[in-house]
Amino acid sequence: MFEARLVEGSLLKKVMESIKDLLNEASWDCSGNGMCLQAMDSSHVALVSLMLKSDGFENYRCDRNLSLGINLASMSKILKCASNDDIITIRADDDADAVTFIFESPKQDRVSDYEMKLMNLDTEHLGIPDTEYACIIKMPSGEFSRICRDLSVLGDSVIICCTKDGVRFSAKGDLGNGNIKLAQSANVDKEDEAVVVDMPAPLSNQVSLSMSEDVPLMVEYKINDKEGDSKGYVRYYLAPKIEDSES
Amino acid sequence: MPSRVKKTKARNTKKENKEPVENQNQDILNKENDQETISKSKPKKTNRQIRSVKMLSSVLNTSISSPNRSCLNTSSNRKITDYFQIRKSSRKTKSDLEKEKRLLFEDLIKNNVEDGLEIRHMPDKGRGVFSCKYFKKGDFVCEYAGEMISYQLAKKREEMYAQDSSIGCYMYFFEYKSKIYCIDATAETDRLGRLLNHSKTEGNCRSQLFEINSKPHLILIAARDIQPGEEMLYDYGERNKTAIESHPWLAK
Repeated sequence: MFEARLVEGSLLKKVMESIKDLLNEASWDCSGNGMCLQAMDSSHVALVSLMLKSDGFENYRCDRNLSLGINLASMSKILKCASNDDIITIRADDDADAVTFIFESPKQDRVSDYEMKLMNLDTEHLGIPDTEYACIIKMPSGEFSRICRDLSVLGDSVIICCTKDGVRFSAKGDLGNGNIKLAQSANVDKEDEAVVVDMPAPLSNQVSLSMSEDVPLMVEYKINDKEGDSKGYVRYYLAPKIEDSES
Repeated sequence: MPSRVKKTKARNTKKENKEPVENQNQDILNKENDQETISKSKPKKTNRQIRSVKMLSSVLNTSISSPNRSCLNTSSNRKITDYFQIRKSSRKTKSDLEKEKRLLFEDLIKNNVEDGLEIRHMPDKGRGVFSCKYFKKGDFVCEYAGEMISYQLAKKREEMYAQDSSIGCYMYFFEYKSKIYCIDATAETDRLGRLLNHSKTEGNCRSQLFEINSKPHLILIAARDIQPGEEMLYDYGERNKTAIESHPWLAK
């Protein structure tokens, strides 16, 4: 029996929003520590590693480790049926072929439940080595999404160049090139000075980019509850693009 | 990310894909082309695929190359699996182990393998087979190799052999698919299976039927862990009173 009750249901909605476009299907690995998900996108360029710690749930019960193979688009559709202030409960039997989502309104006057079929996925797990990154950039997630949006006009790839003074994002394409420089400043240190950009449900106000030469870039969004306690994370690992010497 | 940006990007991709692609070597270019071809037959599904790839680049700003971006034609995207190894469990399921064992036995039988065995002469019972390596319980020892014949023929031959007291007992009767067959190993060969002696009580091997391509083979398996230097013995399984009377050693 697996049962997890999340008071802040919007958190799960945001998490799903953040991965559903990158991944088609993935399995949630549920254990005593929490719910994990690890999957690569179809082109195997990006890896999503996601963790929802058990203490982030009001009620968490996992008698036996289990893996819930899920079509993420379907799960996202179902979670759209939940209001943002709903309490979400996820429930599955030990050898179930379906998972149940229960949405309760805060006043308990409206309770809906949805059962979703599970998939049999043959998942491969990647071992992510502990890496001492040469550079870790923390910035408001709104700022980061703005940089991505602005530079995507010019090209599809970005070079992130980090120095002691700051960080430079640059992109080039047919119509020209663009650079965005951020100085290491208050902007970097003040944690919650996020400009709210209309990115689909930002997971958290803070994003951190960890990078080293010739290892995948790690983009991490910490999942915090209203009190600011860490309840998990969503990490994206992106394989670097190697420029040939002629270019 | 505002939806407006995504839409323009998707449109751009389609336009670019219609133009000829210079560099065919890049995997991702080809992938995108494939998607474009598919999109002619199944437009709905593919649009989503393109969008998901595009989303990757727009949300995470990665470096998925799109065709004809001249500056990107000389670079290639690495895969995440180049950096992170796929973690595979070394544990195997029971059915996998059984399948492996089967394949190994099949191989050993086909190649007439009889490793770790030697013939020794003993003053009291003549020839016997001794181990010269360690056998683990369940290990393949050797095949009881001989000529497979029908029950009728075997009975005739048995009568014939019974007339000549110099011929030993090398007929192994067994039932396969509810018919009785016999492996006749009377003819002197260099195979060892026929030379294993009998012991009703102290056998360390047992015989087993093993089917390869719907043909039965009789093989001998270690019934317990066997140390080097032990004589390989198994129970011939003869319970017929007259046979035991004529060969009193069968009772031992």
